[in-house]
Amino acid sequence: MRGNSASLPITLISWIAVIAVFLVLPFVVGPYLLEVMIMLLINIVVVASFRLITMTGGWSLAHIPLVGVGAYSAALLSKHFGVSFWLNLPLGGLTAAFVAAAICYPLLRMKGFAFFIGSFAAGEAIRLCWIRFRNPFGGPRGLIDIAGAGSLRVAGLFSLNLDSGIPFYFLTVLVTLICLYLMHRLGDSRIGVTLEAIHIHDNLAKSLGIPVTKYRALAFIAGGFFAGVAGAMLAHRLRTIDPHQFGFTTTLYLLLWAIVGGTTTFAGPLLGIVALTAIGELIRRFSEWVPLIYGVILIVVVLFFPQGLESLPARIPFLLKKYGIAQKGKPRK
Amino acid sequence: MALLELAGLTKRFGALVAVDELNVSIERGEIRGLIGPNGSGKTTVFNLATGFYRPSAGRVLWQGEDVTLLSPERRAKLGIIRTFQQAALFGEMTVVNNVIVACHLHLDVGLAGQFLKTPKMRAVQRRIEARADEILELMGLLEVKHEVAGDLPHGSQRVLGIAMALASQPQLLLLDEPAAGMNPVETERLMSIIRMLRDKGTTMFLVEHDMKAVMSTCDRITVMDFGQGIAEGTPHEVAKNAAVIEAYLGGG
Ligand SMILES: Nc1ncnc2c1ncn2[C@@H]1O[C@H](COP(=O)(O)OP(=O)(O)OP(=O)(O)O)[C@@H](O)[C@H]1O
Ligand SMILES: [Mg+2]
Repeated sequence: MRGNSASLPITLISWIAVIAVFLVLPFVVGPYLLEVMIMLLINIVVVASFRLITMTGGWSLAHIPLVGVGAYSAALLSKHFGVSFWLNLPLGGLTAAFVAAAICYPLLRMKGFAFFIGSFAAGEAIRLCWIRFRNPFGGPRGLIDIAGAGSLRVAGLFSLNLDSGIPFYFLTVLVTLICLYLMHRLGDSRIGVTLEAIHIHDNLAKSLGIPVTKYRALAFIAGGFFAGVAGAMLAHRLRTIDPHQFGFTTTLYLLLWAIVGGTTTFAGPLLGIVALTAIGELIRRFSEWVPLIYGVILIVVVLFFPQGLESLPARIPFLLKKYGIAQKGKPRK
Repeated sequence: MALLELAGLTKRFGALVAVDELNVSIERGEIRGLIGPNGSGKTTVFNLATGFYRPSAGRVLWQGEDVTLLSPERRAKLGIIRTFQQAALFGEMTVVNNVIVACHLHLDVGLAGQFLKTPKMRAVQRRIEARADEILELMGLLEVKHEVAGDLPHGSQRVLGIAMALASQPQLLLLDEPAAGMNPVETERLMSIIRMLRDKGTTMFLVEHDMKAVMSTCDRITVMDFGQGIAEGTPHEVAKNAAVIEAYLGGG
C-alpha cells in the first residue's frame, strides 16, 4: 500500500473493525439512523471518487453536479424506460462519466484557481440545464415517484423487498464495497503511481513522456463514473430528486469531508466523512448552530492537522511528546 | 542528417529577446556543449528544444522532421529527454519509485492491463524494477533506493534527476547544469558517466558552467551571449575565439 506510517496489521485490523461495525450497527439502531447510515455509505462513494480527482491536484466543484447526473439518469431511465435499479447503477455511472469527459476537455487546460472556478461554472451549467428544461428534467421541483430497488425473487421460493430498510442497507454496503474496491485498486495500480507523480511535479512527468492531460482526464472521468453510480443509488433510495440537492451547499460538505479527513491516503476522506456524519448526528438538536460547529471543526483541523485526520495516527507519538505525556516502553525514532 | 536541428530559433519575452535566431545542428553520437554567461538564454533553448516553450520564430527539426509544435510528452516519446536546472524529482516518493515512474515510456501495457494487473503487466513491472536497480547501481544510488527522494542531499538529488532521464532511454539527452553544486570528484564521476553514455550511443546536449568539465567532455561547443550564437567549434577552437573571450571577460 502506498502512503505511510500505519503498519499493515494495524491497517488490516482497523478495516476489519470498521466492516464489523457496519455489519452489526444496522440491527441495533432505529430506522432513522439506518437511513443516515445508508446516506453515509452513498456519500462514502462520493468522497472516495472525489479523491480520484484531487489525486492529480484539482479540487473540482463540479463533482456533486456529476452525482446529480447519475441520479437524473437513473430517475429518467427508470421512469420512461422502466430500466431496473441494477442496470441503472452502471448506466448512471456511464452517463456521469460521459458528461465528465465532455466538461474535462476545457477544464483540464486550466490549472489551480482557474480550474476551481471553471469547474464551478461547469457544475452550475449542468444544474441550469435541470432547472431550465422542465421536460425531461422537471425544472426546479425535480423528479418524483422514482422506482425503488424492487424485490429479489427466487422462483417462488422466496421474495425479498429490497426497498425496506435492512435489505437496502446491505445492498448499499455491497455496492459501496465494490466501488471502493475498484477505486482502491485503481489508486494502487501503476496508474495510481503515475497520477501521484503528476500531482507532485507535472512538468517533470511531461519531460519523461507521461501524457499528463490524458491521465488527468482519466482520473476525472473515472471519478465522474463513481459519482454517477452514487447518484443512481441516491435516486433509487430517495425516490425524488431536485437540482437543489446537488447545489453548492452539498459541494461545501464534500470539501469539508475531504479537507477534514485529508486526501493523501485512500482512507483519509472516508475518515473525514464518518467522523463528520457522527458529529452531525450528535449535534443535530442544535440545528441552527450546525454550520458554525462545522466551521469551528474545519478551523481546528486546518490549524492543528493540516494534513487532515488521516495524519493523526502518525502524529500521536509526536503530540504525546510535545505535551509532555510520558511514553513508557520502546522508544520510537 | 542532423539528429536535432534548431533553425533560426527565436524566443521573445515581451521586449526581451531571450533567444535570437539561433542555429544549432547536433549530430548523432556527439556531446555538444552549450555555454554562455548567466541569462544568455541556455535554459530557454532547452525549453524550446523539448517543447516546454513555443518559439516566437524558427523551427525545431528532429531527424529532419519538423517537431516545433509537438508537446513535451510527444518529444520525449521520440527520444528527446531533458533534465531541469533546478533539481526536479518526485520528492514524496522513494528513490526507486522515482526511477520506476521515469520508465513510463517503456511501459508497453495499456490502461486496462495496468488496472487489472495482468500477467503481462506484472512481467513488465518486474523488468522495469530490474532496470531501475541497474540504473541506480550505475549512478551510485543503489544504497539509498528506499529512501524518500526529497530527503536526499542536494548532490544526490541531481544525480537522481539524471538517473530518471536515463531510465527513459533517450536518444538525445539535454542536461541543464548537471554538475551544479557537485564537488570536483563528483563532477569527474558524472563526466565519465556522460562519456560512457556517449560511447553507448546516446547523443548529449550539455549546459555546464564548470569549464574544465565542459572542455574535457564535449566534442563540440556552442557559445551563446545575449541569446545569440556567437561561436561554435571544438573546445580548443572555442577557447581561442576572440568573441568568446570578450563575452566571458565582458560579462565579468
Ligand atoms: N518564462 C520567462 N519569462 C520571462 N523571461 C524569461 C523566462 N525565461 C527566461 N527568461 C529570461 O530570458 C533570459 C534567458 O534566461 P535563461 O534562463 O534561458 O538563461 P540561462 O542562460 O539559462 O542562464 P543561467 O546560466 O543563469 O541558467 C533571462 O533574461 C531570463 O530572465
Ligand atoms: Mg539556465
